[in-house]
Amino acid sequence: MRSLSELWKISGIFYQNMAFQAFIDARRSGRSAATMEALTNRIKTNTVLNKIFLSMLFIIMAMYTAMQPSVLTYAAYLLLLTFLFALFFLQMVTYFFQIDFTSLRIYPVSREEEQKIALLTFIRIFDIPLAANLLVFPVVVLFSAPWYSAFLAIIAVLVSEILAIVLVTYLGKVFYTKLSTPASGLKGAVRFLYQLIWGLAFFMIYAFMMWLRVIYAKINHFAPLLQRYSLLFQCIYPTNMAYLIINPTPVSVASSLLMVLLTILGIKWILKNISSIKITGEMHTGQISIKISTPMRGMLRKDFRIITRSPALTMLLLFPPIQGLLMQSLGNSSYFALVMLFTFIIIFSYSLLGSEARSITRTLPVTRGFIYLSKAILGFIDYIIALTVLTLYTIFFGTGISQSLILLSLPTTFAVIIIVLRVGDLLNITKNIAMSSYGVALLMILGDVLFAVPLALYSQQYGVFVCAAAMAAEIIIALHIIKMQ
Amino acid sequence: MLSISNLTVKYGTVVAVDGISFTVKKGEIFGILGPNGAGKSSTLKSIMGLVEHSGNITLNGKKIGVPEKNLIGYVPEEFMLIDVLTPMEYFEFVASLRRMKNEERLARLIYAFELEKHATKPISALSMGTKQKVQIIAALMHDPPLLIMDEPLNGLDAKSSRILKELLKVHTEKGGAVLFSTHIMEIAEKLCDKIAVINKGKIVAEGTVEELRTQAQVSGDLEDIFLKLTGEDEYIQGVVNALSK
Ligand SMILES: Nc1ncnc2c1ncn2[C@@H]1O[C@H](COP(=O)(O)OP(=O)(O)O)[C@@H](O)[C@H]1O
Ligand SMILES: [Mg+2]
Repeated sequence: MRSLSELWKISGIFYQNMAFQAFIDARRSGRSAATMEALTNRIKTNTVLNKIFLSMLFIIMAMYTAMQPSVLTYAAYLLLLTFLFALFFLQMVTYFFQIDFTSLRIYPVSREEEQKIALLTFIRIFDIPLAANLLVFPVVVLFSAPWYSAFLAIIAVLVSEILAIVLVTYLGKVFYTKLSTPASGLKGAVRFLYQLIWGLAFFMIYAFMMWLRVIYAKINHFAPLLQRYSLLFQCIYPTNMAYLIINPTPVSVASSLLMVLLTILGIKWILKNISSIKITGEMHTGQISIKISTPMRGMLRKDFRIITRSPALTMLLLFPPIQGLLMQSLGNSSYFALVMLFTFIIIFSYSLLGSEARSITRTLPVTRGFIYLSKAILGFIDYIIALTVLTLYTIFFGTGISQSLILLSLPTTFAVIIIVLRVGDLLNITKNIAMSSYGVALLMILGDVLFAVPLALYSQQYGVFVCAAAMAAEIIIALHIIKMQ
Repeated sequence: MLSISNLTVKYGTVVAVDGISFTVKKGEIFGILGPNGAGKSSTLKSIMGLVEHSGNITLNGKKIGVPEKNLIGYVPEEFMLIDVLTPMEYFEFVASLRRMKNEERLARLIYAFELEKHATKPISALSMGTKQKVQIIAALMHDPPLLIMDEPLNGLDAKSSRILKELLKVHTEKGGAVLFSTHIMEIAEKLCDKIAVINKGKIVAEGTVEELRTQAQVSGDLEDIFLKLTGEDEYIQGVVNALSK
């Protein structure tokens, strides 16, 4: 029987392998000059740095919470923790499900050890951030509460983290079994998410802090609601746990206990799932049915399938409506909200183009213009989805985005996406920088400017004419691009 | 049918293909034979417009633009598939982009290569050989006049490679042309009407197996001819001598 530290070391090999896969998928695979050793070292430091960066985000969040301890902020903290934890690790967990631990069987390793190694590899995905949260939040709680509250805080954080892990395990498995391995066609998209999260790290921290500040500033709006339905909120997560820490009531204690029990079941479920990973070699002898359609429909159908089967792209699809809602609910101007939303439309459309980079499409009889057009259609559909969500918000809450601005933005949105895609493609072909965070930022800025300027011109003197002229120019350029061979 | 003249491919400072010229005629199976790194894949990729290159490439006298791509079926050496799709979804995609009108031939190919068994699995979960079958079917489905195949027999089992070879013969009998690359002599010897031996980006010999034999002034099989032409017979003799000591 091997010792735990020995097994931990072996699991490290699998983990490194997984990180390597993620890294390679996230980058343009070309023959780079870096030696294997240099690359491996870089990946090692990269994965550790990523975890530290993530832990920092969580620590900042805990600090914010400490500044105004209340049931609401604690609940917000726990909910955000669950959400962010799940968001950040979904990708890695999907990779985890692709590891074939049965490869260990050629060595003298027992089945029991094999399962332990799988478990340890799984733990390695979360290790540093998981521990950081468990340490930091209780300490933060101690500033304003007696010692046993810190203990309760540990339980609350643990429950939230396990909840997040159950969530990603479930999603990871779904993504793995229901097709989708982050593979060739998707590398562009995966690369993008990677760049977004780590390449634009400073931007992310900044955005994140802004976001937190506003959320914590607005959160007291919910205080009357909490008062009115206090009993209900003592029953449900995450407020029950927040009550437990700040002001334990019999109901919140009972429902928290129930959560702990559920968490234990959750852990059992996770263990069962990660130890039973096998490549299922099931055979389906099915009737074949093939529907040939027009080139554009075929292209859109393919892209739709890729989007729904890839965690990264699904997320990118969801960003624009979420971003729009967020901006709107935080009381930003309609103009600002729309531009911020559009930034994510650009990223989404451009990732779709990226997924085409080394694909078979280039050997098929379609023009470049056709490819831009297909991606722009999907970007535009996403834009319409986001606008619909915003409009629904406006209908429900009475205030919200200006409908006239929405209408005004419609004529050029499509054209701007096309222009940005073309520029991105050019950058990529000639300089190979479009995929760097620098290139992405450049495209985001370009798109925002092309999108925002005509809208801004509208409110100036003779605005209608200037705005119309600017939009017409953009549309003409876009039409030109669509006709490209 | 396909004419290539003075084709050069550079990757940075590396010259992968160095000014080669050849023509592939109707009804001909043309093999590019060469060791690893000789520039075979780069040549074929240039035809498909997948790499930057200089020189002239024409199909039926025309430069290869978008419409010409429908006259070609291409099997790349490295998999260029969409891993999250099932094979059927992938075929649907390729067939739609090619504006194919009916799926009868496609269905027959799917059964010929026994791919219906894998209808509901994502391509990522398929074995190497099965992935290669997917690529081959995608290249053959629209019955193009020109087939370009980069080491097409890689990973195929005996049955499937036999089917492919027979299909290629039928294809040329009907007046189609095939250009394919391989580093395996026996395949070239058995299949090809014409062979270009390529080494370090240059064609060192071209012709039928018989013609190559006279050029190299050796009797024997293609392997001897090949090694002689690429100047590696002496190197190999040296290695063997060293190892047997
Ligand atoms: N993307 C690339 N970047 C740099 N060098 C390359 C690339 N692709 C091929 N090469 C180099 O070009 C030469 C020819 O490669 P290739 O055409 O793949 O040969 P073959 O198919 O005959 O094995 C080799 O030396 C190879 O290392
Ligand atoms: Mg090759």
